Amino acid sequence: MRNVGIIGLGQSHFVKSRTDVTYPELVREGAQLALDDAELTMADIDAVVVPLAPDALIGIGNGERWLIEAIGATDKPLMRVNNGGATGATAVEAAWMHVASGMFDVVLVAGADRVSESMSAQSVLNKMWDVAYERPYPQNTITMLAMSAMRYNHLYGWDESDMARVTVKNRRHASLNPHAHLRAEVSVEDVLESRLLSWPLKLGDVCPSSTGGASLIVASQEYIERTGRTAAWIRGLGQNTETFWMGDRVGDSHVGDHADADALAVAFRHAYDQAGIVDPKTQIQVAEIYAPFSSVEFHVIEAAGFCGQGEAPALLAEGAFHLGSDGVVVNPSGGTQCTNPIAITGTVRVIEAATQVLRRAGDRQVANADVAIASAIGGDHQFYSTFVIANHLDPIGTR
Amino acid sequence: MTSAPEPAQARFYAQTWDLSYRHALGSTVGVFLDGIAEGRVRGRACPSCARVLVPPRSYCDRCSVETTDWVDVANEGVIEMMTIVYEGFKGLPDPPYAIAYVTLDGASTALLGYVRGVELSDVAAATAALAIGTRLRVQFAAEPQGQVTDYWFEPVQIPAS
Amino acid sequence: MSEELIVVLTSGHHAAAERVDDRSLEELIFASTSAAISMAGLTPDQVDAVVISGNDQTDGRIISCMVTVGAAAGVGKNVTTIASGPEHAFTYAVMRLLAGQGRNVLVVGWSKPSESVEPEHAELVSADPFYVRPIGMTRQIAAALQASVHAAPAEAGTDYLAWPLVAEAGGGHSDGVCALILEARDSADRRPGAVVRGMGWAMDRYELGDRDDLIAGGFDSALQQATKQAGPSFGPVESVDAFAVGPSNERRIVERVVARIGSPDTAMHSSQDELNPDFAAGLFAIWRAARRVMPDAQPQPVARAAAVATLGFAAQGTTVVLLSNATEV
Repeated sequence: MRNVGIIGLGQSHFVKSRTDVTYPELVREGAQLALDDAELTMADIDAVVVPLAPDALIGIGNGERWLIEAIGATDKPLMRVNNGGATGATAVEAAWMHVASGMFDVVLVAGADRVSESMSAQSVLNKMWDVAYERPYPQNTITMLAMSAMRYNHLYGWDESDMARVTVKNRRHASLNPHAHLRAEVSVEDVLESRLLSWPLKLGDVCPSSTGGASLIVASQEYIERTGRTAAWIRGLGQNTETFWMGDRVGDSHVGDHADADALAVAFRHAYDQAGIVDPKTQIQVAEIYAPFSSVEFHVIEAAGFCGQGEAPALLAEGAFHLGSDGVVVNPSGGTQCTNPIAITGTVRVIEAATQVLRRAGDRQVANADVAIASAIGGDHQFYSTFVIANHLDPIGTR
Repeated sequence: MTSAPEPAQARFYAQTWDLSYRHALGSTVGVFLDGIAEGRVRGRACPSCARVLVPPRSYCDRCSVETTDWVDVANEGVIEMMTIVYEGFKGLPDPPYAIAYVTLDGASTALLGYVRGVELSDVAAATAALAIGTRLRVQFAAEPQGQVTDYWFEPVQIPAS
Repeated sequence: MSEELIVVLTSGHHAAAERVDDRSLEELIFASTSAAISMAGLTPDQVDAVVISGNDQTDGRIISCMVTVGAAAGVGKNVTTIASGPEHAFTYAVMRLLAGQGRNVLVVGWSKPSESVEPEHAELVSADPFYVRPIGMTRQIAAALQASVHAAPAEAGTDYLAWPLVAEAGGGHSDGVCALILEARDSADRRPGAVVRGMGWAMDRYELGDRDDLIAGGFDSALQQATKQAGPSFGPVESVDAFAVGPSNERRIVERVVARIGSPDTAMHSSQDELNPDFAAGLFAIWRAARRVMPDAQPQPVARAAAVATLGFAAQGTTVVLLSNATEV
């Protein structure tokens, strides 16, 4: 199988809104950062993959068609991925596929989001649901995750203070990350006193609506060696899909509980098997895992195999998963909870994972980072994309 | 050297997508809604995994086969998960309101619905009253509109306010 | 393709109608995917991956893969939504197999504009909001602009939708689903099917005033990718199926394909005799071309067929697929 490495990365400094650029210009901004990073131009790019999630959030249908001039992709093969919140990561999988197929050597992933420009994001996201049975209800991303949070807390005996500790950790990490959107540190009390949105989720538990661009460039091993480059290697990747019906994930007949993320664990196993990871706790130093709300981080940590189901909150309370702690550091960038430009959030996870193993993470650098994982979640905890990224192609050892 | 001109101010274009749809629901949903109008909740069984799917679908996505027998499930069941919304969102109802997934007795999967008849202003009391495992009863609209909001849930015992 | 591995379209199912009011979109998808899987001799569990494509605005569903994936045998599987168009879902599926990701892939594309009260309004929101949307644009209007470059003068008494395009029954919309099974096979395998010998896709600039190629954007690039992949031993195609909005636009594309990679005997087919379900029309064209080289083809299978799918306003993007009859040496 053809090995594929990441040879260029770029991401904006994410903010709430950008009035200085249009959507195509924002995509161009991210693409240019990655091209500059790789010292390439569009003439060197063989194909393009655009992560672009709901059209309604940026206010144009099939916005990928609008991008061609802005990113200089005229006459190049270009396609767009939309797997909901996982889009940015699934686009990287798609780019990997372009190279691994043998058809292309150098592929650009470039996208952007401007979520706050949609004045009706949760109303838009309400339209994800089944037209007959669920659309008449005010379901959106906050209610669906509120329900899995309260169920997790009930099953495993945790509470809102545990959730708040995730926010505290991520905001501290984000304060060290110049690309992050929400960078102000907070205390547990700040989170617990913040406005209640959909019980038990409060403003302090949820992600912002972020605006910015992100891009990366993947290439074949043959190209990387021929051009004498350094790369962050994609050692394994996985994707899995859960049933859409949240009501099927509870009760006696469920295969995976809506409190847990069992289908994500399967996606991690695919990536781990490819990469030769048998013991995540000792073989992985960094986890950039998609968790838009505090509560989500727990079951993703568990699905990634860093501890058993229901155990993450206690470990976090003891100081695990923080920058500077022993063991895997979770979301040293601040994660999706501090920066969520929906269409490209998954790409940012891969970019951050690669940045860590390339030892370019500055103040948020995890010491001895050789192997990182990245993941993203789409739909109602339905689509899962996972990656193992390493700075070498040798068998992955233990620490 | 002349610098590139800047606009006098940032400009915006206000747009509303006013897209209307008339979604074909199919016969399975139609039978379900007919049942609701008669005060019954119907599920549909998968011949392969034997789950009774509520709400009913014409195929089982776990087995990828068509569902077959219609099964009337009970009008009572337990809360599997729920939330109470306190924040208003554009295009969604005014808060506060509670929604829950309830597994009705005889069903294998949980059904989404509003929960009414519970005082929501005290979040601690309300969430305790709607804890996982609490039994709820299905109520039906006196004048059904042919939508899933023709049913909702209420506590089997209405708590004293 | 490699020397050892070929990608073969082995079965498919499609359904199309001007409007389908008695079944939901998910039920339509389930019916076609079940049929395609069964005709390939597979069970749903044996499908290794699913690639889907639909248009959210047309169907009235945000992130349409969420609800539709269950209908497309996707639960527990690798599922990717290639939202730029079902023809790209097809090329992506081929790449998956070339990359060694599984033995087969299910590709599903659909469109259900009957659920849109005004499907043209859904098309309008694809127009850039600054320069084009305030003036108004739909697929048909864009195709009319495209066709106007070559059109004869207007005729009095003709019912024009937008000169020179005439009004079509049903507004030119139709509902449909197309589900295809692609398999990776050994290159020596002679079992029936349509071998994907070459493919390419590309897009021209978005702004109509800035197009290099008003007949089919990115055509040269797409054709060159496909012919290069098919290799010098891939002879002239014996049939061409294409889809473009506007019959005269489509005809020009077909003529160009024949001029470049066909012969005087090449059968030039028109999509006008078929239903072309909006967003899925390009995948339907690929499936039609594939059926030309498969055993049931009427009057008989040909050796090599070409498919050209276009998307976007005035055919901004082009996808070319070259297929050959698997049973031939």
